[in-house]
Amino acid sequence: MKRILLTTAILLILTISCTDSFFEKRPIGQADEELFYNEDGIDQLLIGAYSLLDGVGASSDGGRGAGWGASVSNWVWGDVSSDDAYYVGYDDGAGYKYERHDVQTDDGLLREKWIALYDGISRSNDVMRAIANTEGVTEATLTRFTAEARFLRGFYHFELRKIFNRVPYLDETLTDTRVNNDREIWPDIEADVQFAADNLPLTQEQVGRTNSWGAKAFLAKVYLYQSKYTEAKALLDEVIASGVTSNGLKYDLAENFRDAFDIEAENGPESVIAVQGSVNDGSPESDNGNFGDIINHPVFNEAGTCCSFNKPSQNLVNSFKTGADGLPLLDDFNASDLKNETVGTGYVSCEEEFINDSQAPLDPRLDWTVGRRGIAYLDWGLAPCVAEWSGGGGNYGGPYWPIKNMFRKSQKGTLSAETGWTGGADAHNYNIIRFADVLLWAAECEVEVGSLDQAREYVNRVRRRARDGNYVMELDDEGNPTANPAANYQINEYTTAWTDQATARQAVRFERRLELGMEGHRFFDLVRWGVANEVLDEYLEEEGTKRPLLSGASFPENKAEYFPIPQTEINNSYRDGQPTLTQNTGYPQ
Amino acid sequence: MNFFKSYQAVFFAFMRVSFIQMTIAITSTVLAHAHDGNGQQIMDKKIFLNAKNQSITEVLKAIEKQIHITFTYSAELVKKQNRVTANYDSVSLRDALNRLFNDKVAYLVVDDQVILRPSGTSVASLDGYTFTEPVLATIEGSVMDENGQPLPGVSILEKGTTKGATTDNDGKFVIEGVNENSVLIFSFIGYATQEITVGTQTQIRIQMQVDVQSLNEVIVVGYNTQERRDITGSISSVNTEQLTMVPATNLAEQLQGRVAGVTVGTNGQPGGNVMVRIRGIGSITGSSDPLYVIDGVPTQGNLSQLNSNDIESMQVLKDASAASIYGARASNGVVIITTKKGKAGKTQFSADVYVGLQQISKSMQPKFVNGQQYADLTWANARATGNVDPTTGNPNNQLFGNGANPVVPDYIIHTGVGVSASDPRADISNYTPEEPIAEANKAGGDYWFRQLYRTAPIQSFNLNASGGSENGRYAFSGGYFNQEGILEYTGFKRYSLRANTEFNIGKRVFIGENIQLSYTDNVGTSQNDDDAPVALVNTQLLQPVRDIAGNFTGSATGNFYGNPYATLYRNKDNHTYNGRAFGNIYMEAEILKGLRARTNLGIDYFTTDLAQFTPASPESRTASQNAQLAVTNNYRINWNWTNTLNYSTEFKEIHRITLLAGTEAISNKYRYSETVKSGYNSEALEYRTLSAGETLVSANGGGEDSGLFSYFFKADYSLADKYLLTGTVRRDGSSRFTEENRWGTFTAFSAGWRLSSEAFMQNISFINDLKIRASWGQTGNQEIDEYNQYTTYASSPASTSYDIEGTNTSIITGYSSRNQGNPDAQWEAQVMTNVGFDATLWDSRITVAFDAYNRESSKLLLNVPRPATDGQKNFPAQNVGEMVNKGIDVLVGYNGTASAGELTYGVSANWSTYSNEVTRLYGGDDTFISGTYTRTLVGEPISSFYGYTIDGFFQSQEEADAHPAQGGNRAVNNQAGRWKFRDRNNDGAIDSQDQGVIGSAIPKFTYGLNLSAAYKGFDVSLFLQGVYGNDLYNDQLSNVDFLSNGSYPSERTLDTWTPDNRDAALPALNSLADSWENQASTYFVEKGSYLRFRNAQIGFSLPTSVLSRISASKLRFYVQASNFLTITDYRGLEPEVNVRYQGSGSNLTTGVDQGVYPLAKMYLVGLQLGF
Repeated sequence: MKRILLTTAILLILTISCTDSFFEKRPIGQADEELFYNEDGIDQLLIGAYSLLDGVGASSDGGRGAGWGASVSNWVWGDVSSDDAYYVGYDDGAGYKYERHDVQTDDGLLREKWIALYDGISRSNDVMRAIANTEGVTEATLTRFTAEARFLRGFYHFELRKIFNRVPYLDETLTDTRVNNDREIWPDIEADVQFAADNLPLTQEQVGRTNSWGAKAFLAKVYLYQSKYTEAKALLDEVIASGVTSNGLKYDLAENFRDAFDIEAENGPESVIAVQGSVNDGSPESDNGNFGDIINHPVFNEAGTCCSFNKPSQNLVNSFKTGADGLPLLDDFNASDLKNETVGTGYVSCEEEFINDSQAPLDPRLDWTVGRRGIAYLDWGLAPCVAEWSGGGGNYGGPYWPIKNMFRKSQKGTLSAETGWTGGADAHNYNIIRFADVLLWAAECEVEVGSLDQAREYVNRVRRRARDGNYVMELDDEGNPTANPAANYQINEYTTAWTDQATARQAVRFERRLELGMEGHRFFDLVRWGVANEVLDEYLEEEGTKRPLLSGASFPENKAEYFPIPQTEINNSYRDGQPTLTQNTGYPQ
Repeated sequence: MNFFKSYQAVFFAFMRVSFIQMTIAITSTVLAHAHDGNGQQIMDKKIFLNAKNQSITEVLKAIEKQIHITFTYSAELVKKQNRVTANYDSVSLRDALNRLFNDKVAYLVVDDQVILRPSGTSVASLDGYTFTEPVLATIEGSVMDENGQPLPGVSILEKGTTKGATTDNDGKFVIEGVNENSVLIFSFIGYATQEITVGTQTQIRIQMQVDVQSLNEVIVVGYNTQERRDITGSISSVNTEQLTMVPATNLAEQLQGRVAGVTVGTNGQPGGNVMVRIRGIGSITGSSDPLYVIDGVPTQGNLSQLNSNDIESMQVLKDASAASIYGARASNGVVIITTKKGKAGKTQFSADVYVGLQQISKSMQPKFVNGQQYADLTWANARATGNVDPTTGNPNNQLFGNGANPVVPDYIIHTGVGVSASDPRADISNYTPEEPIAEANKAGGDYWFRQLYRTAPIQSFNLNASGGSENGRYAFSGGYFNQEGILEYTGFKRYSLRANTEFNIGKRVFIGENIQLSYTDNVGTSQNDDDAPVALVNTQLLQPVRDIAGNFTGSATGNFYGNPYATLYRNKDNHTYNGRAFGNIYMEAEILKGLRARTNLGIDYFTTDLAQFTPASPESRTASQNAQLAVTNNYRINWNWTNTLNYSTEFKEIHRITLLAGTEAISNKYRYSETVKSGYNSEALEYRTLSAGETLVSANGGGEDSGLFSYFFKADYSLADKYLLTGTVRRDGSSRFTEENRWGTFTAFSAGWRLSSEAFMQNISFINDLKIRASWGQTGNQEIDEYNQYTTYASSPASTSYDIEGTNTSIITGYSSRNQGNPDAQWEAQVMTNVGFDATLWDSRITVAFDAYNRESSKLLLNVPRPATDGQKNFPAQNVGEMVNKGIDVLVGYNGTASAGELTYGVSANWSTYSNEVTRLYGGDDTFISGTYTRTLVGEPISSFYGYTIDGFFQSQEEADAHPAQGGNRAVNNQAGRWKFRDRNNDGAIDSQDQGVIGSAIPKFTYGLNLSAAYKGFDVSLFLQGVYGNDLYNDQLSNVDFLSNGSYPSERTLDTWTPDNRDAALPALNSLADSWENQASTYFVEKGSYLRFRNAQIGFSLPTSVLSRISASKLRFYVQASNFLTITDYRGLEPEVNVRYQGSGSNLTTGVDQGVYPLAKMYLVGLQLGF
């Protein structure tokens, strides 16, 4: 009997089957799609889409994802690839190819940018899909969400279009994103941004959200990139006349040039569209601080910053030279170099004395744009010998550092990172569009399809602010600013009318460089003006005599205007045995 | 029977029996129920005795207690008896008494009472009961070998005594004083030991049989056991004694070279990862690690927590028919480990101890330039690149000055400027931590190696005890292992405890448990980034470890690079503590004859605790940061519950059948948390707690769960021991797949034919045993993400949050798509066919096992590369790839004797080869999967190296000009003395489209060779292992052979192309060409073949005669050298580079050397003691 019982028990155990719950192992700490089909949920996805504006965070695991290649400031694409800067630093050789316009299709930075932008598009489309599935939320709210998502989608596509040229446009209806890049996508971008301009509110409760005016300014930029000056002008006139920021401030230039870049003056009247930076906010490595620019600071222990990449070019510095009349030397600014401590082509010895030429007349914006030896570097004291702030070997790239993206000493630790890879992350906003940009676009439009006088007035408005605002000052022995400007700053309005369109065009374009130098726009401006080949060939030839890393380089026309589509992305685009993406002209197919 | 009467008879017969004894006798006799024939049963009862120098009465009392009998004996019997020492392990009462009284006792059994008297006295019987007198005899005999020839030198021993003899040259022997119950043991090396009960014989003729014991060896084959002779699948047993000879943290590491078809990738870091691949590579992006089953508990690796001294046996199930009983987890093979169990008998103690020293192999170290050579190279390169002062024409460099010739400085001051010793700036009074001064390391060369590597001790202590009786058995052990790393400050310690017990409950049920507890303490170092100390390349050559004030040098203190020594130093207190409790509890019952049921509950609990403190190191390569502490805690708890019914029967003498049916439930749970804080006012050890930090940087946690439920069935059939058949079916249900795809069925069949038992083979005398085998089977692989089927969203401060309110210091949490699900995924499927044979030849001196297999993997769970247009999230594995591995495994062994059996020696060799080919990928033949310097393409082996092909140098400018532009940059890349890159696609341009497959890490064959010999008390063994015909991708060269990256140039940089040196190692000096020439190419692909002398050991065991005086059973000393010689042409530090990462994705980096912690040379002395 016992034996029978035992046998029965064992047979029962053997035939036990599992309940379904044994197999129901749900992911821990993650949410289902359905949770987002309501007002809060859509907004959370939208925040996720906004969070990629800075280019940082396109990651499959919740981490930071791509590095500086994806930075919203586009310093690799807009500065290094133009005549404004070089890519140097610790890894001397790494970036040569960008300033030499010798980018291989498998270069890692290409893909960083591509990935970040398409992830932004993917997130924007996720918002759109959630909106489509949501019921019980007012139409007005859904429309606002749609407008924000379409603005972001338009922005991300715009960036792709200007950098990579032949790119596919993706909307929320696609189930397979492997689509051909054989079609011009400007109309799709226009449609997205137009929808945003039409449907966004005039102001937003949260300053980080774009408003209708921001979208209009951006739409003008989209037109400008297609040389649609008339359409752009109409929009810009409206924006300049009536536009307000998301937090309701009438668009205007900030009082001081530096205010546009100072963390504590952010979201002021000049801020048309800005990426909000944040540090010490609970993210492990201050990933929400302007992380994409983290390696572009001088290398010095006091600030805890790194790594001396994106170094301003001699050509850029020379462009700030002025005549005694306070006007730029449009034609022969590069005839001689502003005195600098570059010795030949090798390392600079810090032992050698160097005294700046304080007599050369200069645009005061120079020392708010470029750090140079012997001039106060914000409140950090005088910038030292280049070797001292450049890290191992970094002074190959000449004696200058960028300054617009640097935090002040008084902000260290509160508005700069307490933790992370370096102390270089800070709460800087990046201005996707600032009002000076808008004014100078308007000036361009006036030159092309309007009044040269009005163009001059826009330019002068920008120059007046530079003239009337704060200058970089000399320091006394204690390191405090004195009443004396650090150099012989001379800047004035164009008082005489421009005689012809060509002169006006040259002056307006030159003003863009001075006002917006090191902000990631230059290369794209050169390309859309159709002068990249002409300007950069000349630049490389001349600059190559000063910096061996550029010697022998030239600009391959009808190729280097756009960057290659990352080879890996072509490889990954196979559908039915064929790649859906085609490489840009001039690059190996 | 008249009970009372018999009692009286006894009483009066033994007047001198003590009163107490008599009382006992009365009591027990009265209470007992007598039976006929009881006497024989009692005398056959088995006893266990462990007496040391005890009186005979004490011993008899112990026996009484043990088997519940009562002795009655005369004082005369025990009076003259000396104190005795007895150690009986399951000896019959009869034998025990004979031994105790030296065959001078007669006995009579009445009920439970045993009456003893001296033998040969007059009283022969009591009331009809007859005393049994000991029968003593002298036995003569002869011993023959298997061919009937006399066999000299055979040892004959009476069991349980020291009485013995040896056969003479005619094979004859004489042994005196044995009785009919004596058991004689005949033993001779190479022959099966025989036991003969003397009985009534006076003449014994024995024919010794060649030892074919290994065929009867019982092998654990998964859920049940099988004799080796019956096995039809491909199963390799590992010699655990040889295994533990190799000192290593990780059991799997000790497998290297031991089993044909098993490849092990070892990492020299104490406690480091080990990669095991059985019969090639089975998956592309999924896991290819085998399943480990330890005492019935499945586990996934982490074998460094196990003490290999606790292993009794280890089986590798290589083919699908053997492995398919494990169904969905078996496609990468199964390793079954059984730990040591107690055996009935007296308690046995053993101790194993070894201590030794470890060193880096000097001969394998790369050679670097010295300070002067570095300076000269810098000058030559500056001239070659035109990086010279236009006025003087000289290079200008803060380290080496600006003269026509570089000056190697004596000191380097904080700005990175080199100065001479006489320079006032080098004065120590100028030193501050912010503006340090360092003495230049002019010697260069192996300076950093000498700083970073050390002679490190290794030690291991193990204690074991085991024993028990028929009713209960136990074993326990304690171990301590401490291996300090040869790289400064690294090391691994393990404390382990293990115990198992097993009890009988009645005759048909037993219950038992195994438990292993271990605690490990590991200080490791990163191997996976550029700054890893093993890479050694981000240090400037002139940089010393410390500046003149004794502080570490580093970039933040001037223009120095990273300091790998400081990296190690700063990490020295970051211990990873792992705790593990591992074990099972089981019950087995024999329900009917031959039918056994077993239930087994296993647990594997694993915890990790790591407090990683990152100091605000001033010598960090990047600028200084705040100190922070990251505390990681995680645990994994897996349980499995297995129930099996096993039925074995035999009928009509020639049919043997074994049936096995079972169910198994497996559940895995994993949880982790990680908290990071910063703001530490002190970096003292005692402040390294979370509470001491001011600012919370991050806090994260999560986990994973999965479950598997299975049914399985297996049948083995043997007909006349000649024809063998096995069939297996397993059905698995997994939580990793959706309901529709949850269940998978895996079947297998195998057959064996013992040719040697056929009549037509009987005349072939050199074949002792020959069995041919064939098998076919299916297995699966489910090692993909637990939640592969689910689409989910997640938030993260780093990637989905945004300061939408413009506060500058806070973020609003957003969400983004994190995982895309694939509800259609199923198991990876694998079909393997295997044919082979096992042979025992030439008097069983030679054993051969041969296997050939074809392993086809399909529906490979592939993480298909996705276009970025899909967004960044985790994409699910899809069943798309196919791959084939084909191979041959051979194992040959030879055992011999010489000098009349006093010298024994053995050779065992294994050899295996396989080919791997990817036959299908996701999107057609043009698609591929990228790894680090590798591509996995259809028609090629997995992870083939991918890059450019270099066809030597441009020996002239004409040649360079005639070649297509390389990278579009003729000015730099198409110059005489530069490498000539092949235009693979003949399109007139050298660009990324000209890359192709340039090598494979899959070897042509691998082999292991073990040699051993023993003579008298001495034994020696030598173990060699090697790999032939593989390529390695030496990525280290890209750092040390190119000046622009190479802060630490190799000696090869002195051998660059010039018109006078056309056969140079490297192209003409010009760092401008580095970014082009440093791309993946054939330059970095090297032959990876090596032959490694893994182990050599010489031991000496004390003879039994000496041991008995100290009551020991074994005492052996040995000296040993491990990894003491490696023969290879590989130019890296370590040719075993096939493992860097574990788990999924590891297959895509196979054979890429980006810095490997080298295997240490070791020199050890050891002691093994048993008593």
